[in-house]
Amino acid sequence: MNGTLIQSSLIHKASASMKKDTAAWIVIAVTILTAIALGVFAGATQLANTIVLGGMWALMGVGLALVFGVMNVSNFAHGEAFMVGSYVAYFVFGPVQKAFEGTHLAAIAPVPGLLICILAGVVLGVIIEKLLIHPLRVRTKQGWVMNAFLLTAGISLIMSNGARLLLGTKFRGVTTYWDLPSINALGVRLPSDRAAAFILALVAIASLWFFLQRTDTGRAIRAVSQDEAGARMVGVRVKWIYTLTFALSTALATLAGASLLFMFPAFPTVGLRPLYVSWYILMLVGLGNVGGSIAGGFIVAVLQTATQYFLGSVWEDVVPLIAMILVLLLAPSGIFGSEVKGIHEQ
Amino acid sequence: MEPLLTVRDIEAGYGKLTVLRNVSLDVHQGEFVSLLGPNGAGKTTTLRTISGFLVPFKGEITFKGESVVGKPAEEISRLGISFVSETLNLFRDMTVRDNLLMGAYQIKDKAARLETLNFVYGVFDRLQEREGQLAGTMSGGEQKMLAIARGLMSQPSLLLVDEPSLGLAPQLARDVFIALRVLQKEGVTILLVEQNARAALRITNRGYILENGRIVAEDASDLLRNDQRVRKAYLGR
Repeated sequence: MNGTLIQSSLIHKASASMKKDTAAWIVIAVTILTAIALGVFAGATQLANTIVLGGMWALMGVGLALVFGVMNVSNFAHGEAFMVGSYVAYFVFGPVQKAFEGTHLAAIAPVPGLLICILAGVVLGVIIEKLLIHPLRVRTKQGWVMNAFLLTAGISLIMSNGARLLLGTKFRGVTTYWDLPSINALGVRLPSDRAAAFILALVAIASLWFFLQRTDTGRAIRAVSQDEAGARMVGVRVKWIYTLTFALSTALATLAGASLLFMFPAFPTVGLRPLYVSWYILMLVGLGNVGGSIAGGFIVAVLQTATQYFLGSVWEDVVPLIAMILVLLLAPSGIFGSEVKGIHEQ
Repeated sequence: MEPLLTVRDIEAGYGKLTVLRNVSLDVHQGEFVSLLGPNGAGKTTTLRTISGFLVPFKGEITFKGESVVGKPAEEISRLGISFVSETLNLFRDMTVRDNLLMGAYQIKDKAARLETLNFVYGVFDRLQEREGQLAGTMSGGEQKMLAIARGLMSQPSLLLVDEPSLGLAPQLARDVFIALRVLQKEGVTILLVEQNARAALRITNRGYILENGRIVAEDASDLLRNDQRVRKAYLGR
């Protein structure tokens, strides 16, 4: 073998990974500085709001990364799961709030809605995976990535337009969600709605982390995303893992939609923004990188809020997108590295 | 006694390309059988067919008296056939220990898992040293050891090993063969595919020779070693 060829490819690899690490550190540093600036100029409350939003974006991003990493599916219907969560939460919350009115249960009126949403997410995920994604996989000889993308894009269209047809374009929001006092600490005034949303996101992500790292099934999910043939060799029923992963991802999204009902009212296309943000996170941190997506959620929230505060709402998506372009130029596989399983299979 | 594994008249391939034309072989309980032959003969295809990664066009495969043709790989693994592929298929971002625990995925009893883990560490002590290391960062030889060890974690009735010595320095290859020998002494039934005919015939009981998708010779390893044609074609004498 040509000695210089090996050397130059080693150098290329080393410099590529250095670039990726540098990009990661730059982005993290910029985010921390921006967050500090936000806290100083916009106040601690605004910073707290940003962190709450970050938790939600992390929830969305993690679900998308999981499906991409494990199933090699580019899920463009991910936002619609958020929408379903919003609607289900709204329609459950209304009657529940009325029923609990005046009693001390009124404080936790959102809870039934949240629980039902998680269930709805699981059911929706199982239905989509078993009825649509699985048959497509069985039939696809080549071009899986494109096929899966088109399928989910179609599902997205049908769901958002279906919602419009069945439920109309009216915005269905709530003014108070959790009837609890707001948190006042360290100069921060955090309404209970936001605090609850953040706690929910935290609990959900922590549970997911524990599940993936410490349980047999979680380990099996990671195995399938790293080497599917190897997973089959040790007896993992991959079909089942696919369904489970997709259901999990959908449930996380519906939970996000339900938790944020006070911020994002339910309407047919409410899922678009979370979808874009989720994809943005994935491209920033690296496709399929589950752990990185958590950090990514917070990074994006900081960048978005800071842009909105310092430059105005109009620029809200522009600056983060410019950041993403820069990242793609310098570290195309994302700042934390991507774990794409499909790239070697054609 | 009925063979543990019976492969009869297998015709298999990929799309329009037929690789195995008429392959039949047996493996009995406790045997150490080798499948030899030149590059492209279809040795890997044979193992992939037995392990369920490839569905044959024709033929029968019986394991423990049950027909397994057409069953998916994960089910065949659960029936007791462990496939250690040439590409290893390790979980590169998991530690050695997690890879091994994944190998025992089918075994629900945690105590039994640990017992098997200890057994495996006993045979491959280098793996125990590197328990917490990520599989993807290990050397080629260590990865091969890990792949074989992982294959053992499910306590298989039959171990299929595809070219374990490929790409290894002679000393490492020797270590791998010694390890396989130890396993056989412990009672593991092994079907070994190897290009290194000399080493394979020295450690196995019986051998098959596959050429162009057909079995052209079958005999006790000792006899194959002394066969003129075999010596000329595969042992370089």
